[in-house]
Amino acid sequence: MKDAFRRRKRRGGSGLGTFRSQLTLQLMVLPCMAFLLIFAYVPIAGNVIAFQDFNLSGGFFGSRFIGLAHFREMFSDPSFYMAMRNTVILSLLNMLIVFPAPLLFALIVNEIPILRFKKIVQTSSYLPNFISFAMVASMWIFLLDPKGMVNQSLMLLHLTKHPIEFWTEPGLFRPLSVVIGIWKGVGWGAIIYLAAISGINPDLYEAAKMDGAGRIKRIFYITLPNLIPLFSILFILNVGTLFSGNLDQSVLLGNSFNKETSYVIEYYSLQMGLELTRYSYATAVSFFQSVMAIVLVLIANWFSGKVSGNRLF
Amino acid sequence: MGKKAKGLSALLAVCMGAALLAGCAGNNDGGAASATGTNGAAGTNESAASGTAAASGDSSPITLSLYSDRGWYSDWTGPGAQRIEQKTGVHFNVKKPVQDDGDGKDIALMIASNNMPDVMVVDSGNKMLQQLIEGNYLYSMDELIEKYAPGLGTILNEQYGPELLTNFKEKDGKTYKLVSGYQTEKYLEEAKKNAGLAPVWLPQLVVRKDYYDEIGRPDTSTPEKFMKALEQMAAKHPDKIPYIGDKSQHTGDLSWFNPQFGVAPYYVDGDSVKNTIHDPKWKEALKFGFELASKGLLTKESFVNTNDVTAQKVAAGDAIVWAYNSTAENAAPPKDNPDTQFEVLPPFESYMYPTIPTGWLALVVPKSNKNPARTMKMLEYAASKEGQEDFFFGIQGQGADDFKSLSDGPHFYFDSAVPNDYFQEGKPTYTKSFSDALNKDWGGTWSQVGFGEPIVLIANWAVTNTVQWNPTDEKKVAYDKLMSSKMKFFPEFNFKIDSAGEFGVIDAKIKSLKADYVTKLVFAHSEAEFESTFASFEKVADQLGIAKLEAEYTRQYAELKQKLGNP
Repeated sequence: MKDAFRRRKRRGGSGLGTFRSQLTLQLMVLPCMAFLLIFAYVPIAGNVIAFQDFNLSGGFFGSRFIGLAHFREMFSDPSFYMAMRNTVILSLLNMLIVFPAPLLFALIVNEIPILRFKKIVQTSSYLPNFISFAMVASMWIFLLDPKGMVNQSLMLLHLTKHPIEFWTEPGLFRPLSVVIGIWKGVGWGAIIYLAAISGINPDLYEAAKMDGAGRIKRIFYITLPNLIPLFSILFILNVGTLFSGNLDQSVLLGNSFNKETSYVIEYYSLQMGLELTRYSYATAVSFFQSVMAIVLVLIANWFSGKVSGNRLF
Repeated sequence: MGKKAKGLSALLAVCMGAALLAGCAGNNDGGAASATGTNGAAGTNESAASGTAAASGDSSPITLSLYSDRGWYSDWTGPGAQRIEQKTGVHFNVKKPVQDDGDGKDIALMIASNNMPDVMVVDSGNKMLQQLIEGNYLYSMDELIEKYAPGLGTILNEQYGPELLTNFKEKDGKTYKLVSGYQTEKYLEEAKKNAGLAPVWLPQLVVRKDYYDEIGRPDTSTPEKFMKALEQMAAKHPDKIPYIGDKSQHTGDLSWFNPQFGVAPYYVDGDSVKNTIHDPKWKEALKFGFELASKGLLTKESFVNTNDVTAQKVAAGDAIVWAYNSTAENAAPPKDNPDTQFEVLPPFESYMYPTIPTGWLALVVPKSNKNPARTMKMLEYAASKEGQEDFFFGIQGQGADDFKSLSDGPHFYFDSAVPNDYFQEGKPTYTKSFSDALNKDWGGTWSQVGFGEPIVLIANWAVTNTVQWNPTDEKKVAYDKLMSSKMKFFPEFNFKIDSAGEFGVIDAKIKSLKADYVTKLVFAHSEAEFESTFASFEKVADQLGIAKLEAEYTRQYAELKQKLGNP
């Protein structure tokens, strides 16, 4: 062990030496780094227009600097607060219900004893992920229409006298958004957990079986503890989306009846920024979202480290 | 890892990097402008030189890049475009969005990347059009016409109407866009003469004939009478949706009912111009919606459904009255009764369809154009009667039954029995087989023939619409007589509100507020709730600064009235 450490230390003695010895690998990383640099880091500089009265012909350098004017306007707009509230609530629901659903689904799928059936379940659960949200929305609107299949069935079974107005009742938008989110993403999200489960040492299960542990105990004492590091990392990354997302649902399933629960920040940014060609204002909204995302990821990372010992960085 | 494998990996990595960088590298004209026989920078002596060549009938091959913000614009590869290309030598390399981009996001990117096409054909209301003009990105049409295509000026003035070169002047007195589909005096005169003034798509209330007959076909010419008739039909068919439309017709400002109540785009109150929310007629329309809803005759579906969903329900026979237009009479009967059909109810006595004449498409020539001379010569040809024939009518035949195929036509013939002001030979009329194909599949047929709207540069509706007009069709003449008197033009309302400015923001907020409140008002639980909601709506609108916006309307209104010679 000591020798191996020394060898590693010797080989990694100089940075340049390490780079030379890993030249091929470093070169392979280079395109990805260039990609990140060009598409993720360089555009950060564009945030400067959030503090400008940006005009396209003037560009970054020819546009007037106006300080925090856009932020002041944003924080004085009641629509912004409504959009922020809805975004946070929908994201929290996603985090609490939609996010853990793939883990639960992976545990269930993993316990299916018949391989053929397991494969059918897995494949059919992935499929909704490949359907565009526009199609998904049309399908669900159709299904839950007052004259749609769901309402007809409910009325046939005498569970309701009048059709339920699923899409015009503000209180139903959030639960429906969660249901659609699970339906669309649970199979795809479970892949990573199934892969992690397949990496767990089978000897652990054998030993637990010999000690008399049943299926449930094996899940709770072997599978779940092994998945927690992965779950924690995904959770930290997910926390960053608390102030964003759900644009698809908002645009395609939202309407003037359920706006008080369906209108989200990104839709606000689209309407009050991009559609009015107010690029500076849209950037200010997006800048606010990014700052909040960074703060939340840092807090979640710290919290995860404290609670489970798993940190992303 | 062997040396060979290492070398291959390194090569792979380098290739990946190169591919990434190549992908990022700018492509000045999207590979579009591989022009043959083109000149250098726009506005140089070289272009002027080529202008002389074009004037003498230069039809050497040239590729110009064209951007359209319309998703339906053609890629200029169809048979129609090919025929025009053979005649003129001009090929257009078209860039267009997947969906219409009236917000001008593409144009914004073009400005930011300094990568403009040779020609743009965009919606006349494209939000970036004004920025292109004010940012000095465009050639002035007056200058281009004078320098390269004086004939175009004559054609526009004589065949289209002088308004095209006078009504679109900017503050500097120059015209930067050529607008198609603008209702000039000349066009209106022609349309009136040919029973083509009232478009078929005017908003109407359409009823199932079997149900209407069943209640004895009562008079429905007032809101009260219509409501009574609808109540009667709904009582006889409680399983049906009494009235159905789609969200685009109702969400926002209840636009489908507005013409029935004669609501104008703005409310003129003495000397000041106000938003429609202050128009008593608009409130009347809202109240009508509220009364329909409180009787269960108007449901939330009409504010949520897309037009596809509505069309499916109508086709399935689920609805009694349908928010549609006069073409409904040609629609397939509802599935539950193949023996009936849809019938357009007469409009309310108060019906008035308002139009602010702004035109349809605007053609502009950016200063980056690589050959303004050839571009203008192409426009001169496109605007002429010959060009309009090639662009919109296709191949000429001898008579109604003359037809070989969709791509080779003939697509039209001159009907000498019907006189026409533009064509001495008679009225241009589609050949029967081509007309049948259009009636069967409008969009599909146009894409197969490859001409018409999808390749429009400039359209003279007084010419292009002649194929649709039929002054000998009694039914059409009667419809035009009925509806044209109910259409009103409001050029004095053609306000310019910068969407990114203070007024634009207030305007957007008021529109959003309207959309929120319309549903609250229509589905209020009582009349008292309706009134209190309306009062709170007006209060919030005041807080958003509607007075400021209305002051701007009033200012521009006075200016426009003066400009239009009606102080």
